[in-house]
Order: sequence, then structure tokens, then C-alpha cells
Amino acid sequence: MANVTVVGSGASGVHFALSLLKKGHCVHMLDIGYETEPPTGAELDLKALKAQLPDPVEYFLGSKFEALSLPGAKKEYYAFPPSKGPVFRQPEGFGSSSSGFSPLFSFSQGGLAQAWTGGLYPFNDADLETFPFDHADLAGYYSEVAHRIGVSGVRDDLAQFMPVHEHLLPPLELDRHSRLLLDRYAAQRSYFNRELGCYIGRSRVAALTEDREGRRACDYLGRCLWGCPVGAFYTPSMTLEECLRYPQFVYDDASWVERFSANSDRLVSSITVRSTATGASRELPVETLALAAGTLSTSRIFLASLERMRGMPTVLGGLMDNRQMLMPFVNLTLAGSRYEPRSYQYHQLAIGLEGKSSANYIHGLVTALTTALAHPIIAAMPLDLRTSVFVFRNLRAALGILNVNLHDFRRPDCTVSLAPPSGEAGSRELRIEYRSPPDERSRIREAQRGMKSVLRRLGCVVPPRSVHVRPMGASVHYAGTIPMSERPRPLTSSPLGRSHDFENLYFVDGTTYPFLPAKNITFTLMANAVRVADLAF
Amino acid sequence: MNRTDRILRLERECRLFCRYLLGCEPSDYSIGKYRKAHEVHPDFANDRLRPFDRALVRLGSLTPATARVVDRYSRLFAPRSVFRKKLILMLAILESSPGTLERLETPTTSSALTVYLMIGARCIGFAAELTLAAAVLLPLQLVSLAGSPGRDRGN
Repeated sequence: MANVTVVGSGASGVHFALSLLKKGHCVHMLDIGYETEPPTGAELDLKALKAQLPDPVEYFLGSKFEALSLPGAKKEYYAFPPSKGPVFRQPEGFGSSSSGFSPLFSFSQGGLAQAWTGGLYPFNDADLETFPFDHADLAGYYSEVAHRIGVSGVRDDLAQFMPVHEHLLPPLELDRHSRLLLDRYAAQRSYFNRELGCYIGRSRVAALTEDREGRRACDYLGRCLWGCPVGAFYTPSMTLEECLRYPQFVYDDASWVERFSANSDRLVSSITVRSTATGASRELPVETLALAAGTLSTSRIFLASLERMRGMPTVLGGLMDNRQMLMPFVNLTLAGSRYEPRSYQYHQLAIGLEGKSSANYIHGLVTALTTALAHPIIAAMPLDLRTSVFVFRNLRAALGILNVNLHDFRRPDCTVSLAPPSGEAGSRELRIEYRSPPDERSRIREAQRGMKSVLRRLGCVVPPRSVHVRPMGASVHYAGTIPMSERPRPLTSSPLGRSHDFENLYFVDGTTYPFLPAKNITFTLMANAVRVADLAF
Repeated sequence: MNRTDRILRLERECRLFCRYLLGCEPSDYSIGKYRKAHEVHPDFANDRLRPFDRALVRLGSLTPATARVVDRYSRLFAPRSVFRKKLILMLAILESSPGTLERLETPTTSSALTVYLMIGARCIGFAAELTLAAAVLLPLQLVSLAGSPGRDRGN
């Protein structure tokens, strides 16, 4: 039986660990592990929660009004819930700088997916074209992850882009807005498919539609964004809890892994761990090391280790992320209707738009705006606030946002490196430089044109100048700095995520992706982590 | 201005903004939260107000009618002004509080056609009043900007 040290408790790390534990291996997980608050007020819908909380403004806006969205700040249509603040808390001494990229880091238990929107979209063969395996090699692992976490959805027109796996739960109930859009698509399906290259179907989401293992089926309280109180919505901390039930699992939080050391046989021998509680450092021996801290943090550990061993800095190229656009729209026929606060809050529908080639596939997620905070949307309207309030209350049921994702590919000028030592104690600053591909503007224009045509045909309009092209880094689908490669080259990994530089080092997060399709990557992160655990151990 | 005066001024502001935005009186809870935001949020620190910002706040908090004029003007010509931020703060507090929530949720009519006609009429009103407001306030803003070189002009 192997003794595996896993760094990070995000979506990849916990599923990798659980697979190893199920096979009888011993796992020692090291994590900074800030805890998020459990949801408050079970059984209450959002309106009741507002009425019953002792201090609702503090709950929704934060004690220092940090969720207040004011002009001049980053333009987003959603204010981030204060309760999710610990997901993005950074340890003392952590620093990063970036150019062309706005990175988000998480050091919480469960990682960034503690604040995700639950989209689960398997990669198909076109997405995996540059990977050293195809969909058939991954299919069983998608099914395994679906069995573990609960995925609801249905086989529909999107199956050609998102292969269907086993253990798919019945889909969630659609709200009126989403049903209307889907009905319109169904009535004109051949036009959408042939003329627009567009396919619309149900989102696949990590939300239960049946009770199971202590978690309840979604009861449409409308609190997805604020923290599901019944456990219907999956987050990786649930799998961490499952890991903790195994006797051969050790979880050390407050542990910041700075680097590893290797011997002359290219074997990792130990790691340097700093306590975020006391600041003290210690060396821990390692038999096998698996880095699952997320692409940026994993890269950081790898870079710090290489520099220490080689005495010279290293630069990792190929950083990728999905460019996203937020496209608000108004469903014209729903003006004057009452909105439905009791509904699933994240995307209920997905839109697939064919590109010129399979790699150019564009992925859209439709979210109806119901229980998100309204003031960022009202303030974004091109009218005075009083008139905007009037417009909003009459159009609230008609509003939606289409989140459009574009693919990315590895380029040598998108790099991650360590800044030169500053002389101060503490961790070295991580430097991220991202340059968009030369054709990106035309791709964005084309995607906007295509999606606007789709929305028009669905009876919706996009208000002028309202499309928000999010900065790189905002989608938090980071990947590609240590790609899988059949050929053993430095700074790459094997098809099983094993480092080509160190024989007992594995990368089990997005660092190993050679390409980033226009889809949420979390499902594939989890499936690939299970695959590595299954085949390499 | 001493602390008591400041508290009273903020309370007046809060009541007026609430009436202006939603046509109702704020609860004591909402007033308390409005006051607290001015203590803890850096964007509302009184000593950081530039002269034109201060003028907009004073004018906008006189009556609901002046609030409307300044609201319309600031949307286009001073979108980052403190006055506009205060209105957004008020809105954020009201939408998070029970009681006032209904006024943000309930449509004023159920007919889509009526909704569009009413929105159209309000947009025309917005444009007309904006022109008048700009005629008065824009020169003041330009003078204020000219008198404070090097300051952030993106308010």
C-alpha cells in the first residue's frame, strides 16, 4: 500500500484522495484549509430568511459592507456573498502580481469550488483532441464522480457536446423563464440547428433531485448563491468529510506547503511545510507527493522547489483560462410578470454554439436573475436610480444573463514565475503574465454576434452596451502550466500526471491540461483525478 | 460638524433617499445601517469629499425633487460621485431589509405593453430633465475640475 501526501483539498485533491482511500492506500492531506461558515436558517426561503435573520443587512452585505457593489469597482452583475469570503482569504505573507490576468486564489477547505456554480460538462473527443487519452478513457470516471456527488440533467440536444454518463439524476424543475426559452427553441429546433449552429438543452448541475446519504434533494429555496441549507448543492468539502471517515486518512490544516526537496535519483524526499497558525516551518518526509493545490498554487510549489534545487529561476509557460462574457438580456414577453424566487438559482439551460472548427465551440450558460442582489443590476442601467428601480421591478421576471465561455490554448508567452526575493521573510511573490491570442477580439465579436442572434430568435433582446467581457482570470478555470506529454520532456507530466522531472511526483489538477475547451473544467478535474488514482496506484 | 449633527444629517439623508427611491419611510433598522455604512466604508468618509461631490450631496439631499435632478445628472456626468454611491447604498440596504423588499419585487402592472409604454415615458422624462440638469450642473462641475488639477476626474 502506498503512502501518498496530497497537497490541497479542492475538487481534484479530495476525489484523488478518496479514490486512493477506497483502494486501501494511506493519504496524508496538507492544506491551509480555511473553513467556510455553514449555511444559516435551514428550511427558510430567501424572503423568509430576510424576515427572520436578526441582522439581514450584515448577512447580505457584510459587516463592513464588503458586498456593496459601487461604481468604479470591478464591474460584475452579481455581488459576492459575504459568507463566501473565507473561500478567498489569503494567508499572511502570500503575494502575487499579474499582468493581463486577474487571478483568484483559494486556501479554503474545498478550494475554489466552495464558491462555484455547479456546472458539470464532460469533455468530448473534440475537447480532448490534444490530450493523450480520449473520452472513452475518461467516461467511466465521469460516471464514478457523478455517483459520488450527484449530477442532475438529461440526455438532450447538447449530448453531442457533453457526452452522457451513468448515474445521471432526473433534471431539476425549470422556472417559468427557462421553460419558455426551451419551448421556443423546441418549436424552431431545425432553424436553430441549421441556420445558427445552435443547440440548447438542460444544464448538468451538481445538485440533487433525490435525497441521498444525508443530503436532501433541492427544495428550491432560492438560496444557491448564499449557501444551500439542505446540502443538495455539492461542494468538495463534502468529499473531504467522506475522506475523514477513513482511518488511514490524515488531514493537517493550517499547513502551507512551500516546496519539496528531491534526492539525486530524481525522487522527492521531503516537503517544507509552514504552519499558518504559528509561522514555524518543518520538514516532512514524503514517499509519493501529489500536488492538487490548483494550477497557480501547484505551479508555485513546483517553481520554488526547482529554484531551490537548481539555484536558478524557472518560468512555466502555457497558462490558460476561459475568457468569459456576461450578456444580460430581457425576455420581452415576461415584462410585468412576477418573478419566481423559489427556483434553482444557477444556470438551468446551456447553449452550445458550433464554431468554424470543433475547437471553436462556444459554451453559454443561462441564468435567470431572481434572488441575486439587485443593486448591481439596477446601478448598471443607463438611467437614474429611481427610474432604474421602476424598470427593474417591472422587468425582473424577464431578466437573464448568458455567461459565454471561449476556449483557450497554451502559448509560451502566458507564464507563471516567482518574483526575485524581496529580502523580507515570507513567501515569494507569484508573477503571472498573460497575453491574449491575436485573434481574440474577432473571436469575442463572433461569439457575441452568434449568441445575440440566438437570443433574438428566442424573443430576447440584449440591451445596448451591456455586454461585460470579464478580465482573464475571472472564470477561475486555470490550467496548462505543466502539460501532459507522451514524450518525457522537462516541465511536463506523463499521461497519468506523473512529473517527467521527478518520478514520485504527481500533478492531479488543471496544471496538466494541454488544451482548455470552452467549458467549466471542474467535472473533468475530478474525473481525471480519479483516473490518475485508479491507474497510477 | 460635530458627531450629533452628522448623525442627524445622515438620518435626514436616509429618510429622503428612501422616500425618493421607493416612496416609503425607512425603518429604524435601515437608518442605523445607513449610518453604520458611513462609519465603516471608506467611500463614505466625509473628510474625503471633493467640493463638487459635497455640493451634489447637499443639493441632492434637500428635497425629493432635487434628489431626482442630481440623480439624473450624476448617472451620466458623475457616475462615481459620492451622491450616487449613497443612493446605491440606500438601495442595497433596502433590498436586504424585510418590509421594503416588496417594493422592489412587485411589478406595477401585469401588462407587458403597458410596462414598455411606461418605461418609454420615463426615459423621455429622464432625457428632458437630464438636459436641464446638465445646463446648470455641468458648468459647475467643469469649474470644479479646472480648480483641482491632478485630482481624479473620473467621478
